[in-house]
Amino acid sequence: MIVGLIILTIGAFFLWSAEDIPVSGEDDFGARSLPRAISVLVVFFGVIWTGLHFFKWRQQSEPTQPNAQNKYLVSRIIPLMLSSFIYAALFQWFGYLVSTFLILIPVLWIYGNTSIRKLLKISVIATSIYYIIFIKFMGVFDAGGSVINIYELLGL
Amino acid sequence: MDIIVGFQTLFANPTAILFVFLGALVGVIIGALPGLTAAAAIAMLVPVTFYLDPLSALAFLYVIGKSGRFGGSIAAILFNTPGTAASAATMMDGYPMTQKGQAGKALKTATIASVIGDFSGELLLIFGASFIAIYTERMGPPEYFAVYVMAFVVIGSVIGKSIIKGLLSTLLGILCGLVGTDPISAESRYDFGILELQNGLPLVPLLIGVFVISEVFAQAEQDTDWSLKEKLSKEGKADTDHYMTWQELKTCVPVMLRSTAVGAFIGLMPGLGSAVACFIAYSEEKRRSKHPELWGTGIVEGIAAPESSNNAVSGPSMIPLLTLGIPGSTIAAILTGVFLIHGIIVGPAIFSTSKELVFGLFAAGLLGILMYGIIGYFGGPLIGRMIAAVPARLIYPFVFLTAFIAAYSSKNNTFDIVLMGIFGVFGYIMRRFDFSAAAFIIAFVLTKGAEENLRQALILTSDGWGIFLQRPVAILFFSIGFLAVAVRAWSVWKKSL
Repeated sequence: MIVGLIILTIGAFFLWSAEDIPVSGEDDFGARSLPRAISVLVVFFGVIWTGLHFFKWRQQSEPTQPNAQNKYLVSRIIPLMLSSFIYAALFQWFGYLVSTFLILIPVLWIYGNTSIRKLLKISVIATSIYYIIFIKFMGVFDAGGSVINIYELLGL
Repeated sequence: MDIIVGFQTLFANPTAILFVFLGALVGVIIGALPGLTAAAAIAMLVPVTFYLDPLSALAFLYVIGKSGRFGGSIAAILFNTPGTAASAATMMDGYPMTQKGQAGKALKTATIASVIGDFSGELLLIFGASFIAIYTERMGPPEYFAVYVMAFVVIGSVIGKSIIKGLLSTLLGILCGLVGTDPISAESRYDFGILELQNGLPLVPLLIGVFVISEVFAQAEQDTDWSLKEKLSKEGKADTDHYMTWQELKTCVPVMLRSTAVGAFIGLMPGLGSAVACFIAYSEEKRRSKHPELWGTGIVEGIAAPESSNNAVSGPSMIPLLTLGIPGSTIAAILTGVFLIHGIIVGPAIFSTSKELVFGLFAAGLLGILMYGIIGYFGGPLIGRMIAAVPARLIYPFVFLTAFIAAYSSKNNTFDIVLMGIFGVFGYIMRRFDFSAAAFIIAFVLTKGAEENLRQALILTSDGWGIFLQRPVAILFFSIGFLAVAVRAWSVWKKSL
C-alpha cells in the first residue's frame, strides 16, 4: 500500500509541476498536454494500486512476516546508497585519487572485507590502477579537488 | 549482397575487429557473473565507446549483448545460478549434468546451441530488416505514433509479473523522458530550474543507475561470503563426458532448429526477450519429447532448447529498432542511445543513409558469434573456474567503482554521478517491488520520438485526432497493442481462477 501512495505522490507532483509548463501556442496540443495526461494516468494507476492493496490488507487476518531482504537494509543498503552521493561530494572536494581511496574502504567493508590490512592494501592498489586507466590513459577529466588538490601537492 | 559490403567495411577497420573480439570476451565473462547482465555490462561500457569510431563502438556493445546471453549459461551449468535471466531454463538440465561429472559436455552443448540460434537469428536480421525497411520507410507520423503506442502498451503489459506494475513502469519511463525542452515549442518542462536538466535526463547515468547500481545494492542484500568454488563438482571420467557425441548432436539439431524458430519469433515482439524465449522453448521441447520424464535429470536436449532459443532472440530483436526506430529490448534501447551519440538517426532510412555501417554491424555480429563460440567451446570451463575463484565481496565494490567513473566520464560532470545515485536507488526500489526496469528504460528512450510523431501528425491535419482513424496501418498497430493487453489480462484472469 505504501508503494501505491508513493506512486500517487509522484503522479500528483508531476501533475502539479505540469501546470508550470508554459504554453506558447506553436501547436494546439502544446508542451503541457502530454505531461499532464501521463501524470493523470500515473495518479489513476496509483489509486487502483492503493485501493487493491488496502482491501488485501483489510482482509489479511495474520500479521505479515518480516521480509528477509530487510536484514541488511540498515547495515549495508542504506550506507551503500549514501556512499554513492558522498563519493560525488568527495570527488569535487578532493579529486578522483583521494575520493576513490576514501570511498573504497567503506564500500569494501560493507561487502564483508573486514581485515584492515587487506582493506588498505586493496584500496591503494585499486585506486592507483583506476587512476592510471581512466584518468591518465583514457583522459577522463579530473580537475583535482576544490578543497585539497592532491595533484598539486604531489606535483602530478 | 550487402553483407559482403559489411564484411569489407569491417575488415577495413582493425580497431572494430579488435573490439569485436574484446566484446566477445568481456560479454562471456560478465554474462557468467551471477547478477550482472549483458545490459548492465553495456551500460557501464557505453562511455568507453565515446573514444571509438561508430562501427567499433556499436560492434563492441552489440557483441557484448550476444556473448553476454551465452555467458549466462556458464554460471547456470556450473554453479546452478543463472548468470542472466535468459539462462534460467538452462539450469534445469545443465547443473544436473555438472553433478554427474559432465560439465564439459553441457558447456559444449550450450555453445553449439547458442551459436546455431544466434547465427540463424542474425541471418533473419540481415535479410529481413532491409526488406521490412522498404515498407516502413513509407510510413508517416500517424503510423509511427501508432507503432510507438503499440510498443508502450505491449512492453508495459507483457514485461513483468503484473500488468499494473508493467504499465506503471512504462508511464514512469515516459515521465522521465518528458524532462527537458519540448521538441516542438522549445518550452522547458520538468527541469525545476536545474541547468543540467534542460536537455533532458542523460541516458548513460540513468542506465548505469537503473541496471548497475541497483544490482550493486541488491547484491549487498545477500551473504557476500559465498564462493562458487564448492559448486564446481568433480571432473568426468569418460571421454564422452567432455564433448557431445555424434548421436547426441543428431538428436539435438532438430531441437535447436525448432527452438531457434521460437526464439526468433519472440525476438520480433517488442519487450518479450530471451528470458521468455528460453522457457517457452524448454517447455515445448519437453512436451514433444518421447521421454519427458528425463527432462530435468541432465540431458543435452534440455540445454540445447533454451540456449538456441535465447540466443536466437538477439538478431530479430534489432529488427524493430532498425526498421521502425523502436527498440524492442533493453539492449536495443541502449544501442539507440549509442547510435544517437554518434550522430546516426535510427529508423528505416538508416539502410540508405548509413548502409555500410549497418551491414558492417551485421558482419561484426556474425564474427562475434564465431568468436564467442570459440571462447565458449574451448575456454568455458576455464572462465567458470576463474569466476569461482573471485568472491562476490570483491567483485561488487569494483563494479560500483567502475559504474561511478563510467557515469562521470560520459560528460565529465559530477551532476551525472548524483543522477546515477538517484536512479540507482530508484532502480533498487523497482527491483524490490517487482517493477520492470526494462519497461522503464525502453519507455524513456521511446518518449521523444513518440511525442514528436504525435505532434507532427496533429499539425499535419485539420481533423485533429481523427487522422489516426483515417490511416489503416495506424489502426492496425493500435489494435495489436490493445489486443496484447487484452490477451495478457485474459491470461492473468484465467490464472487467478
